Amino acid sequence: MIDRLKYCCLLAVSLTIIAGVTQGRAETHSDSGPSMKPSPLTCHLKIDSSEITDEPVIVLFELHNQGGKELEILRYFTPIEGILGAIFQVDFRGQALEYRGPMVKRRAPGEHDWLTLAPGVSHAASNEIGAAWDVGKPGKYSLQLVHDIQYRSAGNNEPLYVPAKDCGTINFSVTN
Amino acid sequence: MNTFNRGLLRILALAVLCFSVSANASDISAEIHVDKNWLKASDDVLVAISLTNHGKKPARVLKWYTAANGIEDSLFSVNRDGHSLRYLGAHYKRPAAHPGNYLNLKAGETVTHIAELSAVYDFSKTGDYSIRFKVESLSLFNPGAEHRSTRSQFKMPSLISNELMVWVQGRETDWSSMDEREYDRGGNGNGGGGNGGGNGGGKPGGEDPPTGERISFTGRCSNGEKSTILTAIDEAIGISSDSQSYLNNNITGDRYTTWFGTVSSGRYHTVENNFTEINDAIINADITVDCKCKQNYYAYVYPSQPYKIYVCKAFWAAPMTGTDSKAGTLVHEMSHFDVVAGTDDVVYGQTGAKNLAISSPNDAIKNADSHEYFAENTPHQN
Repeated sequence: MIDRLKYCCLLAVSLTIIAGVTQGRAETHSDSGPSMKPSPLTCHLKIDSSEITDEPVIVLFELHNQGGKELEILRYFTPIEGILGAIFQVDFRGQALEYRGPMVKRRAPGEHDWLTLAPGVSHAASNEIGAAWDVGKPGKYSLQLVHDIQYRSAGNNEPLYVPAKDCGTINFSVTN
Repeated sequence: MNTFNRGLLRILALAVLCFSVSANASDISAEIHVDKNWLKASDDVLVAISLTNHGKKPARVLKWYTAANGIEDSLFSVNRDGHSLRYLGAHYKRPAAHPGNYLNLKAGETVTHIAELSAVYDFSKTGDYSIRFKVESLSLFNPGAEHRSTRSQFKMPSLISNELMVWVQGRETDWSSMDEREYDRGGNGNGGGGNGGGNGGGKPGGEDPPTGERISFTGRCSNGEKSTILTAIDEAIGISSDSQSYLNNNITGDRYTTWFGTVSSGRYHTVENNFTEINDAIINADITVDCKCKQNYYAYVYPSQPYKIYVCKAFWAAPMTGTDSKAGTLVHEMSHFDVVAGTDDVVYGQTGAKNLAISSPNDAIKNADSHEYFAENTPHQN
């Protein structure tokens, strides 16, 4: 019974992946069900200090290849490439903040738009978010990724995803 | 220029001794100099910035905040008769700084760059101008600085020079050469008719735009680029009008389903409303097109700042019409503005947009490229 359930889950994951778009939002892939194996790619959102006073709010994004094969991560829609669109959802007192940064029209991703990550290697990117979301008001904020992280094993074009929610949520408060 | 440099050297010798400087977490100081403290209308406002490493070890400073490549950010504080002037030049969106982005200074070394402030600040009015080089950034002296800062020890690294006073004679302004201009649109608003009055030369700071037309340009668009943009806007009007007409007629052909997926009355209505707004904005809004972007993007906008569109390298390489064209890019960008359709970039490219229409029509109707491809309708579908 358990094996049959696992098989169904695996099938559901596979079908979701096959039907998936080349890049997508969190809601496109995050409901794809539990994975049978832990993802070889992990991601984390971090912030230096959860209490901020008169400082820029800098969000650190970390990727780690914990698998045994080289991975390629699509830079689009991730903090790796900076803030070129509404890549974070930032909530203030429970309400989503308006994105006020740039929205950039680009070509569909090409081969040079993938970041190669060798086994055991991490990659980090930090972004100051104050220009794109109004995080200057005192109070409590939370932040999470909007888009799933798309990746693939080197030499294999099958799209794989780390759900955005797996990168976690960071909470911070701004004080005067 | 020779005269300028001779004067510069004279002043430099005194200035290094006389002016106090602040440079957090660095031995680098900044001094600014001018060749003469009064400038005729025909003179460019040139300022020399000297950066000196007073330490015994090499030091570095982020090039973006120097004038090594010209003025690429708001590097100065400029006031006229006590009023602060807005920086009108480029604001680049940068990746995180890396060591290659830094200007290295040996112990005791001074480098001097010359910056033309009249290209990025409005010196059209006669008056006394105070000028100070003033930059601050977490990464000013160290690419990894942001990772080490903590709340208790945080102090924004900065570089602030001496202040200079210069008397500048007002000058006619070449609107086309300025990165950005302020002019008061209050007179014309959306009601039209406010641009009369023979504005002639188009003086900045509270007067009407020079042409009285609704399309304006910033970011040093060349005349050829302006002409291309005007043609692209005409083409964009054509395809957005055609899109609106299609939707007003409740057509549900392949053209719709290819880009927006299965028809539902709610989604169809949303798309129809979106194109009503897009078409109205392209036809009627006061649009500003900025040419300064040199990135490999097509274009970008700030959704909360209608109707300014920044066009980039891929825009100029794009065909005028058809897939990923100039006209389509303008439709795409216009759709982003909050006051228009508030679209997002969910996917890029035709393949992604087609897949999105199949897998998630609710996302497709929010996706800017889906709107663009529907408008471009290439290859043609009914």
